Amino acid sequence: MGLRAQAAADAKAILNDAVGGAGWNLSLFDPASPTVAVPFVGFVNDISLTIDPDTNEYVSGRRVTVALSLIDVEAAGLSGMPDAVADTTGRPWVVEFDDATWKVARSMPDRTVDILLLELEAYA
Amino acid sequence: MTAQIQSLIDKTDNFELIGAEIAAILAVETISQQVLATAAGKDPDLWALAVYRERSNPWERYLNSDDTTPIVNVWFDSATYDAAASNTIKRQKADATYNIDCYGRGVSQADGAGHVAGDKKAATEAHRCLRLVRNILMASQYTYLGMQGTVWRRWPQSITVFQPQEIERSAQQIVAARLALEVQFNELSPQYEYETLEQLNVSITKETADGLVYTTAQYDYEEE
Repeated sequence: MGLRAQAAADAKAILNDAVGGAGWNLSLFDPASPTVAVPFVGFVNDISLTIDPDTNEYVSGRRVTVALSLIDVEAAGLSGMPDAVADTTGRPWVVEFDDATWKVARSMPDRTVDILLLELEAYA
Repeated sequence: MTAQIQSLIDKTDNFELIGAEIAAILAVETISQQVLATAAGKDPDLWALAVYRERSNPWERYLNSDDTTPIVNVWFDSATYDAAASNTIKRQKADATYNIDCYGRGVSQADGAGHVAGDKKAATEAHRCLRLVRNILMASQYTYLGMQGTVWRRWPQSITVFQPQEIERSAQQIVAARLALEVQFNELSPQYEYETLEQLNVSITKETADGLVYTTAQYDYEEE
């Protein structure tokens, strides 16, 4: 195993560790089968963020992201790589955790160590 | 040097009153519009605005709630004074700009086989807010913003919709828009307080036999 493959395996192990680590159980919903929850374990971040709407007065917001192992994503048999769906005639990629539902707003894959970072937005 | 102004300056300037009036008009009319919408069988929430004045703390209304009511913040920006249309003693004609900022929030949601995009929804909410604000303030009923005699005119100077910042994507989709409202009005300043010096009576009579009195003038004065 090369160093890069080792790094990807280590990243997967870290992201998947929901017992001794910071891994979190979550579900991903594929637009191709929007009612089927595909389980993952990954990192979840939900931190405050200041939104600057250019009025010189800020709006308090949140930045919510999940990080998954690309090895897990590729093994899940999804219809494609999760990303933001601009076309409103189709369903978006949806992530659920802690009873909250989110839409994938931006997909940021890191293929060096096989991590997929998804930036999420509120979804009702 | 001794103080010349002998009375307390205990008044509100017109630029303050007009800012308050703009916010009050928007608050009252948006409630009225919701009543009218209900009577017309329409969703009153589409006419709802949360109106504030001169606020500068970060908006947290959208942080922990599902509320998507557009926020309106009315704030005084600047004023210039027109010397040619003023007098140097009492009245200054002001050309002021009030910024009326509208914040729209959009939440993505499922819609049949597709979905409603939150980014577009935020923009259309900001546009809807702008539409209501401009229509209310430019209604003929508010030609002088309810302050005829003080306000010369009000005019929508410009409308700007700001591009969302997308360096770090927020979970909330927010779009802001600004209506810059120009208001021309009179601003008044403290005046010299005159004192009665003495009283004079003057009668002007015609120097003829009839002794007809043409005019009489009386000036009050206080006796020593």
